[in-house]
Amino acid sequence: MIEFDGVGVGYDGRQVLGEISFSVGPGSLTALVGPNGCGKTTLLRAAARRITPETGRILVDGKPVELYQRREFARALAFLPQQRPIPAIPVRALVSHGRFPYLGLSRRLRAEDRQAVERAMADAGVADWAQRDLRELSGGERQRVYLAMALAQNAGTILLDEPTTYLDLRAQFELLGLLRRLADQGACILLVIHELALALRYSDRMVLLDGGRLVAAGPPRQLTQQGWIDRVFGVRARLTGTGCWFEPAQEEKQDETPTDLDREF
Amino acid sequence: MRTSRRSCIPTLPARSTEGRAALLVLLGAVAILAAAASLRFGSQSFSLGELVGSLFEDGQDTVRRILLYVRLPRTVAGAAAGAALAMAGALIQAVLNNAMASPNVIGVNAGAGFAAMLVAGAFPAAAALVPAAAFFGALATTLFIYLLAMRAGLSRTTLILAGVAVSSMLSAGIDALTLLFPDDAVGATGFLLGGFSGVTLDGVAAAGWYLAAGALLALLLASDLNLLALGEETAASLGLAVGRVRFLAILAAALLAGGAVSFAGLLGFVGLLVPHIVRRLVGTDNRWLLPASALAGAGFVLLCDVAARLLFAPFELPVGIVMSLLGGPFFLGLLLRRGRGRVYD
Repeated sequence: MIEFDGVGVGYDGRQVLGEISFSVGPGSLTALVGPNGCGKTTLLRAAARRITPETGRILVDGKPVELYQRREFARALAFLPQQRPIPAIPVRALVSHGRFPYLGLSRRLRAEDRQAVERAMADAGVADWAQRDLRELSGGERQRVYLAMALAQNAGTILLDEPTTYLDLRAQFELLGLLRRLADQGACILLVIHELALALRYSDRMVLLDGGRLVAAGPPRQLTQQGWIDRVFGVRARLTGTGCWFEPAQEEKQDETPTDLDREF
Repeated sequence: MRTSRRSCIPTLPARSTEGRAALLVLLGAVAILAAAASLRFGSQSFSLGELVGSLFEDGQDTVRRILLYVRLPRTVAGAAAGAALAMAGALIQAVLNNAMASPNVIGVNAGAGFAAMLVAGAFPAAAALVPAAAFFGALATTLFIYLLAMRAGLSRTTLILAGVAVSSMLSAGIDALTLLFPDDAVGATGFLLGGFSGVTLDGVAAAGWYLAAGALLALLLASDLNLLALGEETAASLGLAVGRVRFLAILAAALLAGGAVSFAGLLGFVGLLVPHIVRRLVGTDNRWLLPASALAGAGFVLLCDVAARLLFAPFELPVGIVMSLLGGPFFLGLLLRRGRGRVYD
């Protein structure tokens, strides 16, 4: 459970985010979307305590984030940043790092930690690669390994910054399907995502940012029908049965002869 | 699962706990053999029987004197310097998350050397101050490079270039000191090239506390350093006190590099070469990498020192020259043999 209450963030006197208020409860997969530079990543970093908001509060499980101890916070919230180095490390060792906030001074894994690691690898579908080196895996596989590490953290709230970037379509579907299942099992997931079609298909809620302000929040299809996507992104969104496709706002001159069907929309 | 599909990638040995432990024992055995060779060979070589025999005789015969006052200090110094510089290299590579970094490359050794020479020149009587000066010189240089990287957000390559710049400034300072105060900088050539001729047990012992404290601190930090390889953001989000761990690791590296430089001079290369080789053998886990680097560093420096004494006997080369002559081609070969996707940078 994570709540944003009037959050404002600035860099060097320039306000990047202002008056952001919304919350994500357990069992929800919420997509944070908006044009480039709208402050999505900044908001996620503030929630992960990487930057401190100038105004407002952020609460995780009802407690302001700044009141948490370091490790206690890592047990409540997991954060997967977008940019990461790819170390040469076996998959199981990486996932085991997810247990760091639970380890004592000796930093040794106890039996329950090992169990949690195996369970997280099974849940993320990476158990078969436990011995493999991270560098031998594809981008989609690595992303799932990192997700397994976050699962091993056993935190109620999981934040992900553009987890689908650089993944092929199938890997995108697999990752979002996995996140959907985790949310259905009770996780509270907030992710920044650029692939609107995926957000429409898998998320139960969409929070739309533009120019550092929250402009709309609600079920993704509803927001789309109300024209929010069109206005914020300057496109035309077309909902189909279960999916969505997009067109430029001003119809570009096309080589093909426009058909009557095109005009109808 | 691990069948022919990935067979083009050389499998690394010793990734199981047993394998790594066996490797550690092996490296330890090599270091002990190298120490025995260092005691035995030189401008005058002794048989093992002579060595052992001289230990149980009370008289001041030549063998015993050479052993106690020349060979033993030299062997202890070589082992200690090799172990310390290799560990410092592994630490700095972990802190900066950059395999191109080493105490030599980013100017830590030069900082230690400059401070040591400055103090040795200013207070010739206070030999005990030299390790302290070397430590503070190493610490100041490392912190400077680190803060530069953090504040300016330098990329890996830029960081190395900045280190090279700092390193050459400090080397220029050292050169200036040797020219301006030629009498104070006794044995400056040996100091600049790195070597153990003329080293005394007192000189090593004065640095002993620095080395012991640095090694202990390094081993205590080993698990936490592993998280830094995941990147600062991820490490912090897992609850690691990133700033504190980095600072302590820099402190440990400065203790080790400063201590070693205070009696061994500007020994380059071992801090870069040894962690690289050892990483290929035991992997990137610092809990294994740090102790294995220490043993391998000790063995490597001792063997190079023996070679330095024997190659042109009775003339003796500074060990730094041999180290670069032997280590350089070896390192190049290592780089060329790396398979794709196997680069630990």
